[in-house]
Amino acid sequence: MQGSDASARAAATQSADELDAIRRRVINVVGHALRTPVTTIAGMTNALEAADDEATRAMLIEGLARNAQRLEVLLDDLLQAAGVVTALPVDEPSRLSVHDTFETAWRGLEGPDSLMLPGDDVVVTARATALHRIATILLDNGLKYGHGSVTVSTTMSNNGVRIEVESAGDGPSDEELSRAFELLYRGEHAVTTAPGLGIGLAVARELARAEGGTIELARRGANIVATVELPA
Amino acid sequence: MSSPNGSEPIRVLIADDEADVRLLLRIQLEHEGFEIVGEANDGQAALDACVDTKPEVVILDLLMPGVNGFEAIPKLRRQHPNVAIVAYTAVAGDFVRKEMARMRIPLLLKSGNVTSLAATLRKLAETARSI
Repeated sequence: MQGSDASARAAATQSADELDAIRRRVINVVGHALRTPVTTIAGMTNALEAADDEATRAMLIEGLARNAQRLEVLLDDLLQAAGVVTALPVDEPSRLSVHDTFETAWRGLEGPDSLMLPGDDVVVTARATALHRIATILLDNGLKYGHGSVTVSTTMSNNGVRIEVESAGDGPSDEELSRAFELLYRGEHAVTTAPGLGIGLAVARELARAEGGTIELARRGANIVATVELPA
Repeated sequence: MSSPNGSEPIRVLIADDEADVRLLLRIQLEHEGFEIVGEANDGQAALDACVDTKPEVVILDLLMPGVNGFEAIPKLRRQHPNVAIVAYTAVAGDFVRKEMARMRIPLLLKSGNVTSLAATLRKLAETARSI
């Protein structure tokens, strides 16, 4: 009996240690992701008070709006990642142009590199909020972790529409790639390249599933390709 | 204008992949009297910009796509030995703190208030100009 008590205590201690490690990891990644927009908003608010010309004030007000929106998206992602139903899109599915959606998402990211959209546009049936969020996550990843341009190509598949988002660059290792959809997972490549929560792809996959689709990630030569399949 | 010896304003290059961070630092530091000679959105762009803009200090974000801050530091030191570096980052765990301490690079956490950053920039420029 004493032996089983000791085993139970050891198991409980290990479980508590693991929970503590997870708690620290969550606080660390959330704190990291919050710091830049929060400190930017704080700084821009102070700078706005000191600004004495209209052009600077206008730039700061735009910056405040951008960073407030960024916090809003972050909050939605966190709630969605935690399985909170209220954060899921509530708009009705509609017929959406893939090119239009990805171009709009790209403009929102203000990426310095070019977005390439070869081939014909296709139309999918999905919630506009969900497709825009999926597009933003995949393009943002391509920008942050790739080297240069991002290409979005579309084809018809057996199950509907296939959208491939391909970014150049060596990117993550095979292990990092295989774990990329894990909630809060950030591999060495991600940690040393850009701030983030490690929830974008997990959120994108949940959104795609809710639309009756899938998302996969694979290596193609030196590039990384995210493939989304959605009903036509 | 901000100058350690009442001379020319301190020439600063901002390297950060976040456009809003660069915009804010430019506005805040210019208000403090610094001369922002350039901006870069990754480590390689910072290295290139040093050639053209000849900054005295580089404010270097550590996490950037392409050539990140960690990779840029030894290259900056080798190619631009007279340029001082301030590491400016959103979070800094033990590894980052130890690495910056080992390389004797001042490390500052991103903040909405640039008082500490401005003081560090002035101190680095003053040291460099006195050599």
